Amino acid sequence: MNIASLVLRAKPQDFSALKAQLLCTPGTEVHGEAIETGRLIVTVEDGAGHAVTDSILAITLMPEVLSVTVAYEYTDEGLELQEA
Amino acid sequence: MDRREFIKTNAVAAAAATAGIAVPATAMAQQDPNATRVRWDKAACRFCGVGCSVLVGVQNDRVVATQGDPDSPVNRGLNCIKGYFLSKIMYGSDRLTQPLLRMKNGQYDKNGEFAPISWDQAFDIMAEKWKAAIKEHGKDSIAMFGSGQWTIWEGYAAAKLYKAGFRTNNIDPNARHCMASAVAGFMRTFGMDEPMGCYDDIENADVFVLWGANMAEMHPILWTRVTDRRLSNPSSEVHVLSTFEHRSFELADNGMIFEPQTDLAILNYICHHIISTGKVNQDFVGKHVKFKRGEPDIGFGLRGNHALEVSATNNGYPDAEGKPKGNPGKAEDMSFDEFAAYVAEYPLEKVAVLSHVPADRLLRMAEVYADPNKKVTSFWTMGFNQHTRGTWVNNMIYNVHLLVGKISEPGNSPFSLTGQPSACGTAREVGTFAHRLPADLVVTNPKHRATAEKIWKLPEGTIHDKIGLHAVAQSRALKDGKIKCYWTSTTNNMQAGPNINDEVYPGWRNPEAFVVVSDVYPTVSALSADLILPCAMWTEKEGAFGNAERRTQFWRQQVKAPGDAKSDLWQYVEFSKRFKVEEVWPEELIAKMPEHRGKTLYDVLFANGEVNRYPLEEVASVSAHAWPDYMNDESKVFGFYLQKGLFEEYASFGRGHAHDLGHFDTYHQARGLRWPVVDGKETLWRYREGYDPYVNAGEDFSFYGFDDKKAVIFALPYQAPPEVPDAEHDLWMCTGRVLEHWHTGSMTRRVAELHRSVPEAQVFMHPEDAQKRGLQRGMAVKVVSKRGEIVARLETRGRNKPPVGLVFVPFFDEGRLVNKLVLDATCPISKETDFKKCPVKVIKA
Repeated sequence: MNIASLVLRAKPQDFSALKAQLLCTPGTEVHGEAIETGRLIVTVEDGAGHAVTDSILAITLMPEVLSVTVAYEYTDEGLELQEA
Repeated sequence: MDRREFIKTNAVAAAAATAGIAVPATAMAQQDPNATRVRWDKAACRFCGVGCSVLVGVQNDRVVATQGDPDSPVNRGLNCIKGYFLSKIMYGSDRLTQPLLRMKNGQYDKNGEFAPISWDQAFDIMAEKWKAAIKEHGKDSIAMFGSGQWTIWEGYAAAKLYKAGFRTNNIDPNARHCMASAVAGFMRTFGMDEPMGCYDDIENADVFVLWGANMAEMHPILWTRVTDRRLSNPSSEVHVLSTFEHRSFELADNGMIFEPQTDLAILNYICHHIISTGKVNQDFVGKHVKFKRGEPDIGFGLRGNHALEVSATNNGYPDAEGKPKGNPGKAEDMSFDEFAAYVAEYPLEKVAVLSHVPADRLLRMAEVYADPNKKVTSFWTMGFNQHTRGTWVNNMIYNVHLLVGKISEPGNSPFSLTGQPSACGTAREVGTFAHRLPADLVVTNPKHRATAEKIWKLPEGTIHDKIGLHAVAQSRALKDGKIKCYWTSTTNNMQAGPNINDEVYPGWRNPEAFVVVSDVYPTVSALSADLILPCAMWTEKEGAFGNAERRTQFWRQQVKAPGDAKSDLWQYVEFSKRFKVEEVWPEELIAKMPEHRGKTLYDVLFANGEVNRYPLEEVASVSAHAWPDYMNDESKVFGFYLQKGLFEEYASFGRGHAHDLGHFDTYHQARGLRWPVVDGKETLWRYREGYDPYVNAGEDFSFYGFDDKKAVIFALPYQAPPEVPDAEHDLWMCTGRVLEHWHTGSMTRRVAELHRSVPEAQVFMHPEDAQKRGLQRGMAVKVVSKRGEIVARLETRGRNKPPVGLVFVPFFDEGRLVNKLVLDATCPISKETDFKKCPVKVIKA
């Protein structure tokens, strides 16, 4: 399990186009936004056939995105091995 | 709520809090004590020089989670994308866990295969090689190449072991490749290293100008703060200069692509504009600035037999009689009027033609620097520093800020960014350069040596007065058989160094040399060595870094290192036990302090009554507020609080001399403090009355790095680089980083999912250039310079958009060692290589 939450910066006029693209990105959910400050909260998680990194990089490269920051990330990959 | 939902709720809550956005259903986050058993503590990020603080979550002695530290003034609860990799970089499948020696038939053999040995055996062979080299070839036949990623005490212990123990100044950090020009620029202009301002400049500036820095991808957290300022302040402006278009241009109000090296001319034009429009801050310049004309004919830091060095009159190299040919750092006093006439040679029209930047854009930028009502912050990194005129171009950006007095106050700030987490804190402040001692002291100054010898309780004459070999000179000396024992740590010079095939690899494989690499993964460098020592990394040890705004930050050891991996600190201190002073010091030196006779370097350097003065119990008591019964591995082994002893001894160099560090214990509580820390209070803006305790009342500004308290404006010319594109090698090549991979990828390439996403470096090229050469996107192409070639895939539509005539190739990919194409030319003053301007041709592979 890999999960991360991101705070994105975008110009207010780009919000709707950006959100449309985010909806098409696997494992990505939009949780909140503040148009006046240009901020958007999303989570990215892995699932069958998609990794968190792929989604984060895809979001980073979206033309409307001015910056991507990570607030929180969790992985249990090695932990599963240890506990097994 | 299942575990996934619980973690997701926590993730959303962390993001909502830091973004200032109310999100329903997050109130219950972090309430369920049974859902995870994660212990949280603060640490400084392992990657770049921004110095973000992260909260590290540990479960079962393993880092499983991180979050941006909400209490950090640097990143305010956020991390950049590399932060996402922090919990993964320590767990690559090929982590080194035991020493490996090249062996044949059970014996060391330079041409043998790597075989596991014990630490005892590793130090046995090292000590044998070290002692033989020192005995037969002298102390300067050993050398060390360290890192801007060393923790503060690791760099300090290494520098002390080499400069005081082995008595050679042949120790240099990889920061030579990234920050040396910034250092030389600071020392020449201000007489004191490191930025006067801080990140708080961002929220106070009206205008940002990026010079050769892609902050959007390389310093994303600072870029987020710039973005916030730009979006929240409609009258603010962002100007971006680069030799190719990158992600930072998306926020730019005035983007400028310039011809490589013409930054020198552009900066002189801005000075000319300021002067010719009457915008000089006469009061400031009259009181706080002096003018000097720099020596122009200084060569390019190449080997002495290179034609460009033979003809140079002031490169400082030995002439036929062995006397130095002038001095590249020489400068003579001049008047303001003479300076004005000097930069008048750089009018707008001429510079627009030379730089290929439209005149209206240059003018727009010059006007914001000149406008007394606009606060301007300039940022730069490798575009300026990795430059054969790197020291000059650093001096020249200060020229601009000094002429208008836009310096040392909130928002007005010439700001040199850094690329490594402790390029400032360790490489520069500790002084692990071949010419330096702690706190800006230098080995060539007898008073400075005396200060160090006194603090270190060593006999007068212990420290050698000759500057040691810098990074590029070390490679050459290895090749020439002058260095017999070489130890590198926390760096990957076989991938990052210039001209690898001709000047780096031959030295490492020279049969006369014994090369030791301390690292965490089998990098290209490790695999080119004779002995590999496995290291602890990041939160596997107690550490401290110093970031680009003079902020010193500590962390506690969070987890154990795997297998037999040991911290660099343990390695240096333990290795010092292998040497008796008689084996490395001459009798006349020992005779000056006979009490050292018969002792080991460990006794003399580390069990000296200072480094070992804090008892083991303090490890727990200093951190009692955060972690009951805390302990770190090194202190446990040596029996005293080693990190505290080293830090406090080191800090005594700078206290009272404007390099004041706070007390050790306070850093384990604070989210870092910006030096000088005087009476427990940090300093945000240096050289400015009211902010800097070293500026006296009534002085207003004081550039106290120099006795006359005046900063220097340097008259320096535009000059072409040593190699320019010609009919055969018809393109410029610029190397650099990408967002996803950090430097040579030693850590980021171990994150499996990242490696899958971005496995290899591409050649970024303009579509017209591709078309002209019959090349298509995705095709394998050969990039060829005079020194070698690499094969990589072509990208014509990527996020980096070079102009016609230039290609960009990142250096993270060990399968494509792009730096073997690069000439080992350096700035003759800073000795830093130019990785940004190499003529190449690109053809079908």
